Amino acid sequence: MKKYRHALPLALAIAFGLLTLLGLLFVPDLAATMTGWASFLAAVALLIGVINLLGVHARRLAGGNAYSGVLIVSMVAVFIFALTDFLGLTEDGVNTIFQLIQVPLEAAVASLLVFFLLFAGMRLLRRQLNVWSVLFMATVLLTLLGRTLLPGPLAEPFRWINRILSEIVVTAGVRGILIGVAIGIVAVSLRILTGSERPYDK
Amino acid sequence: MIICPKCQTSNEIGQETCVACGSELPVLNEQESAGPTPQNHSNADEVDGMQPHLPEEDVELSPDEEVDWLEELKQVTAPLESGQSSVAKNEDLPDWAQESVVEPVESGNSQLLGWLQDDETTENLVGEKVEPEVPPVDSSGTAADSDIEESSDQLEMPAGAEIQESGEEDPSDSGLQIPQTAELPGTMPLESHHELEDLPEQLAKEELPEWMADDELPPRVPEVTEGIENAAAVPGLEDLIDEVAALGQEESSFFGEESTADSEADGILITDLPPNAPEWLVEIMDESAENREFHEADWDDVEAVISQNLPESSELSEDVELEEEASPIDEAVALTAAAIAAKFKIQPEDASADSDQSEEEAAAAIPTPEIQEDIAEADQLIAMLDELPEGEAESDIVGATLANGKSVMEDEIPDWLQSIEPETLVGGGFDPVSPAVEADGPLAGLTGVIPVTATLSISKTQKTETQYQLSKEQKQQIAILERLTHGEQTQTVAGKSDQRNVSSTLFRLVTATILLAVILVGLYLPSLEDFVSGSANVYVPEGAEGAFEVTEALGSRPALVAFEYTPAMAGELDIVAGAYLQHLSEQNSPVITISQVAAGVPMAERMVEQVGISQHLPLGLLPGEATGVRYLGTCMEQSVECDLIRSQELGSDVGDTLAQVGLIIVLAADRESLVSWIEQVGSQSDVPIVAGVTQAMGPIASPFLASGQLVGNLDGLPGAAAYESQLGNTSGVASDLLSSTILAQWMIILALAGSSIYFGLQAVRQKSRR
Repeated sequence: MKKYRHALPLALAIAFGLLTLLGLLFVPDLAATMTGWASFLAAVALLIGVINLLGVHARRLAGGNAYSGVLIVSMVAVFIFALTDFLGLTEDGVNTIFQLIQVPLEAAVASLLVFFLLFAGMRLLRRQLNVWSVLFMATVLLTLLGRTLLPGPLAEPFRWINRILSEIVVTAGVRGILIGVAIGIVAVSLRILTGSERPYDK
Repeated sequence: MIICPKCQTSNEIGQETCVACGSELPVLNEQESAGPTPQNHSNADEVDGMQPHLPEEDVELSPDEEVDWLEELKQVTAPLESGQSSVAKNEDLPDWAQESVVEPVESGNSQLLGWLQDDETTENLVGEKVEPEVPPVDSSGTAADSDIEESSDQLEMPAGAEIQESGEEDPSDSGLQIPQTAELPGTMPLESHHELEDLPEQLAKEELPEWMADDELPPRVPEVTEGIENAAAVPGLEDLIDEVAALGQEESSFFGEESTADSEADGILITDLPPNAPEWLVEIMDESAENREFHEADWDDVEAVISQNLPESSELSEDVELEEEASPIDEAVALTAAAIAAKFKIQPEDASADSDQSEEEAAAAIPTPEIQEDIAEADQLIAMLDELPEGEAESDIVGATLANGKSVMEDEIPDWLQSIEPETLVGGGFDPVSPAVEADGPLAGLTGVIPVTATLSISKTQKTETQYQLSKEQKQQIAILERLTHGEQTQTVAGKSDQRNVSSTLFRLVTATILLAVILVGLYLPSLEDFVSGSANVYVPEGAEGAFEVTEALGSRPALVAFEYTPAMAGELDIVAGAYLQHLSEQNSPVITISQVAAGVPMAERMVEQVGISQHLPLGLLPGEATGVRYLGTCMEQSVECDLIRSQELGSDVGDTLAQVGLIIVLAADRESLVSWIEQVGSQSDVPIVAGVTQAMGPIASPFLASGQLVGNLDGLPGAAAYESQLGNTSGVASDLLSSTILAQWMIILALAGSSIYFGLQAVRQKSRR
């Protein structure tokens, strides 16, 4: 059994990987079937994840963690409203809870980001004064000046600088990152297909 | 009886091993086993007595020999001075201590006749009586016992002193109950009493060894004479005293002047001196002649005279004098060597080489191989003593010496040793009633042991303490200083920290207040373009125009809008989404909403309701991330029929709608979602993709925009405002919020620039100061 415990997942991963690759290249229906199964399994995994999350926080609640209790109560409450919506007892109960609780909270937290960034930028040179911090601060100021409303003669130079930065520096950097990520994905895919990488066996 | 050379236990004749310790006993002939005559108290005395007998012109005595016999003299006189029985103490000593400390008396005791030894009733140092196993007392001694008891009652006995009854083994023994010397201060030692009692019977010639029977008698036992004198008050013993005295005179006439002196020093009555006797000896003899009674005062004089005339009489060299000042360890070694030699009747090499007579006597007395073995044992013992630590050996010597009484002359005792002499000895003699017994350690069982550790370690302890010890005032000063310095540091740190916290908090509050005020003011201000001179310089993103054109070209075909953001980014992306949906709404395009994020589904529903989309098809959550997005892209192909979307069966109308999608709008707040749509859907479908991202995501989306993978892009509020302006709606939500955003941007630029300049210059100044 120990032998099959490692060999079976490996064989399944290699087989379905090759089948999916073949479907994407030559048989679109096969590829669609494979991705459909994958989507279904992802949904099942999401459900299992929710149940696992509930179980984990139930154990933490037994250990005295109050935040886990809040999470469980919220989860159960949303589930109850979803059930009542499904049964027709309530109308748009889940969306109402979301709009009244989730959206304001997240928006409020995110709105603080501008203050944090401003304070961090102001203390940057006080904490660390070197070439890179000065270059970083200069780039921030130039980008802001290039994207804000400025008088005509004053706006053109900053717009030009902003364009140069965006089209050359930023695009080059982002493309380099994307190319690196793509190469990494190809390498990981090949490792999975050859059985060298087994993320399912961890 | 055979005396065990190791434990001094008496063993029956014929036994090969000791009954007590199991060691091998020396093989002696019958005469030797019977022991020497009472006069042969100490073979050390015998040997020492022989040395001065040699002609001084012909013999050069080595310093060791001189010291040996002198040390023997000291040891022998010890019991006389202290009135204690060394034998009794020696039996309580450890084996190693017995062998190394009190050999003279012990050796002399070992040479006693068997009947005499058996008569001894020993008493240990703590006063406990040790009754030897003896047969019943002979009836012949009953009268003498009663006499002794009566005389003992007449003696002044100290508290705790007891008259000891001893059973006598030998039939000839009188069986007298003689008070222990240690129990009766000022009386003679125990051995003397016993020897005195047994002398009439034991002086018979047939019990003496051959070499002793040939008138080669060693000096008499000093305790005998003293005992005789002290016991003179005992009725019925005067006759015995006279006999012993006569025997002493006979012996003294046999030995030479030195032996006579030795005998005198040992307390023996000497009447005749050779004509070549030294002056100091003559003086002593004169005193002895005048006063036959022997007491402590006389002995003090004798010792003083001996110490004064010692170099002259013995003609010792300077080395000898140095040897006299040797350490207590050397003295102990010398004593031990002499005692062992005397015990086994060993003649010193030098003496034996110079004296044929002594050689012959020794050879006749003890077989040669046994002598060699004994010598080897003696050498081992001496080597063991040499290996002892100095302090420990000194303490042993001191303890043993004090236990035996004042055996060392005052003028030879070092000052440091004098200073530690117990008060009991200084004040008036050793107190035998309640001696302090050492409980443990190598000196266990010894009494009168001086606390050597405390005394001898004073110097080291004082050094250590004086080096590291702090006075009370110094400790108080240290405590005050530490408290002050710690308090200053704490106050300094706390003060600086508080000041920094206050200033930092105040600075943050001021900055946040200004920023918030600017934003609020911007909301209520008219468009800033009116205040900016010159042409309108509002920033228009590059992809805004492409996004507007594609959306405009969609017509009535359905558009798939992916809400890939959470409420956290809703403040910015809702405006972008509103711009797109407003345009679609104006064109009556069906809108299919979907999201890979669970929170995106309600966000989509809210924006659809807010804009008022009439034809809305919600697909809800799309699980599987990139796989799900690819599957959805596959379903959008007209050649592929998808039965399931988000794990639900798709109706035919939904399938047809997906197949008719003419535009994909991705509203993403993160790079992965945007990239998934571009890579998984855009790569296999010809449907154009436009994006609406935050301003922070603008640089990430710009490469896809430049490559054509994205047809259009709206990044943040400026893109939405530009999109609204293209729609001709200059009073839209984005346009109203743009002024506030611009004011906030200005304020942020000023704050960052000002702080950067200020802190940059401050840092430069600090570096220049360093």
